[in-house]
Amino acid sequence: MSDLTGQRIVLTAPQIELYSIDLVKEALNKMLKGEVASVQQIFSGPVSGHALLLVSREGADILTSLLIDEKTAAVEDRAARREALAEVGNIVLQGSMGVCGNLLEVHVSFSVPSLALETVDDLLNSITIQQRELQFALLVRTRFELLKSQVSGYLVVILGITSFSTLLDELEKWEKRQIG
Amino acid sequence: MKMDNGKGGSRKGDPVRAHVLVVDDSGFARRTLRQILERAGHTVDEVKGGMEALERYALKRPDVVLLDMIMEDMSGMEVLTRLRELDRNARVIVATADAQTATKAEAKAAGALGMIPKPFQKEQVLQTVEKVAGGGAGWN
Repeated sequence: MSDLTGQRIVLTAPQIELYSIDLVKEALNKMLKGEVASVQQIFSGPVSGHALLLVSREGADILTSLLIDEKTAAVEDRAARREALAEVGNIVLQGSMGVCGNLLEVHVSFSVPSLALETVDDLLNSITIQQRELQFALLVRTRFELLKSQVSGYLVVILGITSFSTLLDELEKWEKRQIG
Repeated sequence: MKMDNGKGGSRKGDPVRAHVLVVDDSGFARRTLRQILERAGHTVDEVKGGMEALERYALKRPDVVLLDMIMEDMSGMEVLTRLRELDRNARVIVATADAQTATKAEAKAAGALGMIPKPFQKEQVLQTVEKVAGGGAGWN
């Protein structure tokens, strides 16, 4: 993201919490008010779930204006902004998930990224209606800030209990490999 | 592929001017690659899906294909396999944000000649495209 925007990014240390979907909504609603811009990618493999990049609506506007030159923005404004944000989400989500996959030696495949502008409740409802096993979920929160532009965003990974259990097994294996 | 010195002639050692087919469902990615490549003197054709990529390749036989891995109609891996069936000598570079080593190995095994990670870095894009267009491989 730093390469794309030309701005220094500050990441907070990730917090990992296990929530029911309802409590995830509550937690995210405290951090992101109103409509949020989300880029979502479904990932599948030994560990599967939904990876999301969440940015406030205002944050998304600032972020996209950093990515698109004024000429392009004037000509194709809306579509160009949506494409730019979706591409940032794609890069951030696949990059971070890929690093975790390499670390744990777990290979996952990604779906095409989808971009939405809706409330946290509507977003999470649409995910859980499609996949009911995601009623209980693991939430990984990382906040990033673009220093000069004051944009904050969150990375969220939602897993079902089965994938969460597989993830714990893989973490244990990784820990053993580290010790040797 | 032309070795062009910009004066109408061409000599060994002159810069590579390649015809590149960019395959990506993201307009943002296509625009970025087009700007980088055209400013360096390459010719660019672009499509946003796998099926379109196969058709365009058959018609135009570009020197290099820059191929995204995740698209709506067909996965990049499937496009790569079908391009190589269409033309055993197709020179394909994978362009992806997927940082997994397994993805890189899979693309290499399927016949890709290089990988360019997203977000695109101008120098890396040009070096890899020119290396592959010139007959080499662009793996780091």
